[in-house]
Amino acid sequence: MPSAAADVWASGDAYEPYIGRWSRLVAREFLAWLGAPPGARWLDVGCGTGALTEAIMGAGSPARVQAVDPSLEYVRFARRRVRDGRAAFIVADAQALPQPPRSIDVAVSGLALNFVARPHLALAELARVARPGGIVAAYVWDYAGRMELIRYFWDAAASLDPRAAELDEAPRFPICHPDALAALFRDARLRDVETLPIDVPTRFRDFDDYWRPFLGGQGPAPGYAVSLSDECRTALRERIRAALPVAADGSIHLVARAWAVRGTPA
Amino acid sequence: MEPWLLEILVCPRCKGDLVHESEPEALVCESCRLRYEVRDGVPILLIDEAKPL
Repeated sequence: MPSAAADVWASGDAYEPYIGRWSRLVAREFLAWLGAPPGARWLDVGCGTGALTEAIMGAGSPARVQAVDPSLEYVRFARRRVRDGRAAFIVADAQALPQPPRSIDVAVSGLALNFVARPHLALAELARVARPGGIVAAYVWDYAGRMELIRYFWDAAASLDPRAAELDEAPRFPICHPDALAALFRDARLRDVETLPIDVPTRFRDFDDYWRPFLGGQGPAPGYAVSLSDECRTALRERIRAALPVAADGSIHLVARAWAVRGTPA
Repeated sequence: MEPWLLEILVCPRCKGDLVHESEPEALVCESCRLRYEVRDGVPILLIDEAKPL
């Protein structure tokens, strides 16, 4: 069985056109939902290319932000992108955070919890570093439902190759459902747990704009796409092209849904 | 490394204080006997990548 640890997450330049451009839209909605007061001490766990950190620097008006990710390459990418003395970047594991207890006002994680080997450990750490009455919150893609750009990919892949079903993020990441997320947060003794679907439009100029990012190799679906022979990849590409709703002008309008969850540390 | 960060960070393993070393820059946990590297101003606070003292 392929594991999350085998997924490739190293190149910010390849990640940006694949997911980064859409995750920025989700980050904005997520922060509006949190409504955290300005001047807060933030922690962004699994910061990746810095989409959420960047949104916090803007809309969040933070006192300071610590952003952590296990990938040095991603941290370097995010650091180049977010040049702000209030932000600091650290290579660290969500399951063993280097922050003292109760030192954070708002502890967040965007599109990362499902890639952590033991999410309940990550939640215990988020709850540990957040101060009582603060905010712990996260969001993940709705892989099994309306994260359509990836859903079209795996549905087509599974119809051609039974092996693809094992890599599909939907069955691999059962925490990407509101009930599972809420349970994860409650198990970490967070109170007043709420979930929210966040839908963002993902509009592609044409099929190439949709397909090209899958050739970057970042993440499970692109990793699978680049592992195929040219012949199999072409078959997959054409299967997806046939299934996608293409508008008269050639553009493709899909929806990407993320599930957000929040709770209050006791 | 951002100066304010130095005062905050703790050992990811024992959550105890870290000692800042320079040349080469590193963060040291005396109780775990571990040295965490700082690369280009980025602290690498991964337990598996720390070097024993």
